[in-house]
Amino acid sequence: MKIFFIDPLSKEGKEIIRQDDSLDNLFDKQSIGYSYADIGLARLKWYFNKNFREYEFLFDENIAEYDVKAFYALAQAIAIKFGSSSRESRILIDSQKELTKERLKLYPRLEEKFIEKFGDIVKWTELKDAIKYGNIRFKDLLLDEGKVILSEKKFQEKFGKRFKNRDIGRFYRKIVGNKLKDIISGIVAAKVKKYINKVYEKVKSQEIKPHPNIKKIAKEISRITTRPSNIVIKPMKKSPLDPNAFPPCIKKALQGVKSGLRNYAIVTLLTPFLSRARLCPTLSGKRNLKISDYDPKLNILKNEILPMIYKAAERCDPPLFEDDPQEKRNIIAKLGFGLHEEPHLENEGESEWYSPMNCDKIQIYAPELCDPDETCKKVNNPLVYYLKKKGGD
Amino acid sequence: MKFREISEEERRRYYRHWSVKKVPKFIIKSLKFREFAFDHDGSGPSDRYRSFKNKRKLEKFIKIRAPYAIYSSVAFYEKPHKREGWKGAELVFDIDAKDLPIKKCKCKNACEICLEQAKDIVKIINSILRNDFGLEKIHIIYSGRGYHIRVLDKDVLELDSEVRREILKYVVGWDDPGSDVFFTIPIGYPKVFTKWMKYIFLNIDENSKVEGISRYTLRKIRKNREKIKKNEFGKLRINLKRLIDPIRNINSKLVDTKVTIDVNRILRLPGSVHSKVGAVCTEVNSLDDFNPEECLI
Repeated sequence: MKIFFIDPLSKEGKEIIRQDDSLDNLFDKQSIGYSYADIGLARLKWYFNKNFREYEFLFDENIAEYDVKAFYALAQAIAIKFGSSSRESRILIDSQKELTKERLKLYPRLEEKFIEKFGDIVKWTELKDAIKYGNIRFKDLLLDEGKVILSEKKFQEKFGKRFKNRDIGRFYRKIVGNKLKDIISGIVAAKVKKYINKVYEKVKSQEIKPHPNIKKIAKEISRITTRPSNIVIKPMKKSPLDPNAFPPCIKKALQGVKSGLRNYAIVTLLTPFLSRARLCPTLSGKRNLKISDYDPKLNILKNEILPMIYKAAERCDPPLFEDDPQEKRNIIAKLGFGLHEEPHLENEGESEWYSPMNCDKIQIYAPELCDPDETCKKVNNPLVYYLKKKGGD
Repeated sequence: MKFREISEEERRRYYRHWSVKKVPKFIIKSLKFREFAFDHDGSGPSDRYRSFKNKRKLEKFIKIRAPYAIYSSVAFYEKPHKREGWKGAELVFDIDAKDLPIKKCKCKNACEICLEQAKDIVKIINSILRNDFGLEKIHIIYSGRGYHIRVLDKDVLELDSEVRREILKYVVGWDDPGSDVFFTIPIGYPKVFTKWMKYIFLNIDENSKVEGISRYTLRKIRKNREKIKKNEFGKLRINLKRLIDPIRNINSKLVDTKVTIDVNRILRLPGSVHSKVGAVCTEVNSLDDFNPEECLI
């Protein structure tokens, strides 16, 4: 059983690279009929179209050694060309996660092998990277006195008595067994993320210089990953605000909120949302957007947006500016005009025009505002909610 | 139990004979790595970036200034006076009786009834942190209007906000237990979620306004209180799967989430006085025996 077939960053996987670390032959066809580059790029293509027949060879254990080297080349190319927080980096991590899961389905004994190596009962802190990167959630782990129980044997030892006269195997599968593939692939994904970060840091500090073949692979990766996304939200032009299309959190914030929640609701949530929804209704990845590009004389900002924000601040209990007058300046700052009482064109750029926070952040910082409806379940940002509702898609 | 804002004179009287011995050892031990913040007039902790080389200097400052409120950071810094060189932070849960999502009393502030409810929440969180996460260095502080749970185990000190957020979600039962029979599973997250469901069922009544739970169901819950106490959830004849989301929604508001994920937070200093309510912020050694009334000035 080749553990590196599901975990290229395992000790065994690293050993393969140690024995053959040449990058000169990345594009040379190997005895299996494919080059390392072919395998690496096929990993990504498979991730996008999930065509198992076309990429059948990715699930043949005989390519395992080649696959390891292909993975390292891919990871290095992504770290070097695109960086550790890039979309490409996310794609590699997710594709490795999916591959690991599929390979575990085909070779179930690898599951046991992995647990054997990793440990059948481990401290939860061993999984903190996988938790941190969102690959595993605590709720999917069986936590007991600081340990995570992974194997059926440990499960029986620990809980045998509690499940007396009940089918303990069924409970193990329900609580742990059925989630093992997700847990293992989550652990592997976290290792990949860490590896990309490490390579990226090394490149940044000029510790390593990219091989020409790595650059060549990076170019190929660009071709695969720049396909248009299948999530389409119609681009919209600036138009008057439609309160009926506001998500529940914005509606609540507009009604005014209690002390403790006021600053977040008005300054951090409402201000970026209303300004973006009114002037630049898109979740653009572009940085350094300026309000004046959409509202050159700042008339819309002064006559429509700010009054709405200030009215909501007034409706708070107690009114926000009554005991927190400096929050007015913070609002202006969140609009990109620095810490001033009023927005003036000459101050624009002193701060950044904020875009609305994602729903998961709102849930954490202001759960009281988050009261999701059906549309909320399909989006991850209040602005996307607004665009969906307004665009009627 | 009567909360009231104390006068400056009362405050000065309290601090005149104040001793740094009132501050728990877990803070004194790391005193020089913590940032201190002071509110001198009730307008908020604007005097920040303070640090003290030793406990005598802290004592002297407090006795002379008699601040309205005193805070210290949950984080440890190489240079606390600059808030630089972050070395780690306690894992904190803030339970404010005033802001509980369901209150048996209808008080707007805090009273003995909601403080008792807050105490029950502290007990549940404490047991999950110990039994599931194996954490031991847990300090419970009565803040004056609720409780702070402060964890100082080595395993948690260096965690970043993302992992803290995930711990929080597990501990308060924010995540979906993912099964209609979660309450039959006596271990792991299903057990955690069931604990919170029980707490909620025993604290709501038919007049409670709980989104997603009908008055009919609320009445049924009230009628079956005895079965709930005995964990006989299967006998309730309620579609519990449909209640998962409303329960999660309540659970998400049990603690102040911002406090848990903020690794630079400041918290009221145990041993200092909460001037707005006239109570001393106090470390609690035994929750069962603790009576908040004894902390009133």
